Amino acid sequence: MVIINPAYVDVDLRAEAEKLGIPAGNLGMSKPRAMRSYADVEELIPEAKWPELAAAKKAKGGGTSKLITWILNQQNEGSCVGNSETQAHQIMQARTFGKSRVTKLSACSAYQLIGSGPNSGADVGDALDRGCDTGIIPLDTPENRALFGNIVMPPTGFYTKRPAGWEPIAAQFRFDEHLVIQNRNALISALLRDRPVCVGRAGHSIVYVEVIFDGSTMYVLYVNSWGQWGIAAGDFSYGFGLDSMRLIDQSADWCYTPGSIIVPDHIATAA
Amino acid sequence: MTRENLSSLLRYAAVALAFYALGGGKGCDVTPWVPTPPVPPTPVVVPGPRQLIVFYQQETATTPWTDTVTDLQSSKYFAEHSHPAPLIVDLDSKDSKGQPSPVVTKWQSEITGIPPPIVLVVDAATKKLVLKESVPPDAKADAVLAVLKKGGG
Repeated sequence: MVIINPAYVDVDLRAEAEKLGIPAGNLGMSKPRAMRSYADVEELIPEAKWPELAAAKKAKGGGTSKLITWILNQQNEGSCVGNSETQAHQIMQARTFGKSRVTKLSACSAYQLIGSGPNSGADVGDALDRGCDTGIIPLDTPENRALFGNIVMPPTGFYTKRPAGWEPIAAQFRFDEHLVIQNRNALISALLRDRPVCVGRAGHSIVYVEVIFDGSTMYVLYVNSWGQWGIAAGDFSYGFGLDSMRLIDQSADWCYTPGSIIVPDHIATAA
Repeated sequence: MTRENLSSLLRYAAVALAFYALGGGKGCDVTPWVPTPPVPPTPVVVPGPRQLIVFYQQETATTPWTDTVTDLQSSKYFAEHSHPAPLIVDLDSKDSKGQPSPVVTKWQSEITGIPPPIVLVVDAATKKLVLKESVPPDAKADAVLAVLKKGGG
C-alpha cells in the first residue's frame, strides 16, 4: 500500500534534480504530432467513478505499480525521457509476457536516438516516435547476453558505441499500438485501465502508473528514474512520487500511453 | 375358414391399413438394434506445469479485464505451482517484421471462431494443448485461474 509522504507530493522535479546533480532532461514538445488520441479510441471513465475504481485497485494492493520489475537510475545524465520510455516498455512486457520474462532494456540506447548529448535532454514525442519505429537495445546482463550475444548496452553512457547489428534486435523491443493523451479525463481513464503513461513536466519525464485517493484528494503515483529516491510502491521500497491535481493537469497537456508491444522472437518460442 | 371369419379378417385388415395410412403407426416401428458405441473415457488430466496463454482484443478491453490482466501477471499462483508466467496477448499483436505474432498464428486453428478472451492451458513440457475455454470479457483473475486448474494447473 502506498503511504502518502508529503515530502514526495508535487515535488519540483527540476529543483530536486539540480539538488541531486541531475540535468533537466525533458525539453517539452518541439513539434506537433498528429496521432491517434486515447479519447477517440477508448471510452472515458466518468469522474464520479474514479474514486470507486481507484479504491478497488487499492484493496487489491495496487495496479500497474505491481508490474514494475526494476527502478531505473539515469545517474548524472539528462536521459529521463529515454528512461521513461524504457520503463513504460518494461511495464508492457510484464503485462504481456509476465514479470519473470521482462527483458531489461538499456535506457541509454533509447536516449542516444533522441538526445544530442549526455545532458541535452530530449523531447517526449521523439521518444514515442523512436520507441515505435526503432526500438530499444537490451541491457547488458548475463541473461540478455545469453539471448542476444553482444547486442546489449549499459544503462547509462551517452557516448557508448552501439553494437554492430543492433537494429533487428532493437526492433523486437518496440511499441506497437500507442495513443496520445491531451487532457485530464483521458489521462485518468488510461491509468484506471492500467496503462502506463509517459509524461514530461517541469523539465523531467516520468511514468504515471496509478490513481490514488486520500479521502477526496486525488493523486497520481509515478515511477521515477533516480534509483533510491522517493516512496515505496509495488515490489519496491523506493522509486515513486505523487502528483496532485495541479501537476496532473500540467502533465496531461501532452503525454502518451503504449497499448501493446511487438512480441520478441524468443517469446514466440515460449508459447 | 368360414365366411364370417374371412369377413372379420378383411375388416381388421382394412382398419389396420387405415390406421397406418393416417400415421397412427408411428412409434410402433421396429428399428433395428444398433449397439451403443462405448463412451470414450474422459482423458485423465495429469497435473503439472502449464503455460497459460490468454488471447484478448485490446480494442475492446474493459476496465475489469485490464484489472484481470494485472492481477494475473502479479499473482504468485504461477510461481508457487511451478508454472511459467502467463502470456496475455492481444490478438492483433505483431512480430518485429510487422507480421502477426507467431504466438497467435501458432494457435490460430484452435481459437478461430471462439469469442475472446480465450484461455488456453498448454502442457509446459510437451507444448500440447490441454484445455481451451472462452471467458467473459469481464472475467476476474479467479475465473481464469479456475480454467488453469481444470487443465491440470
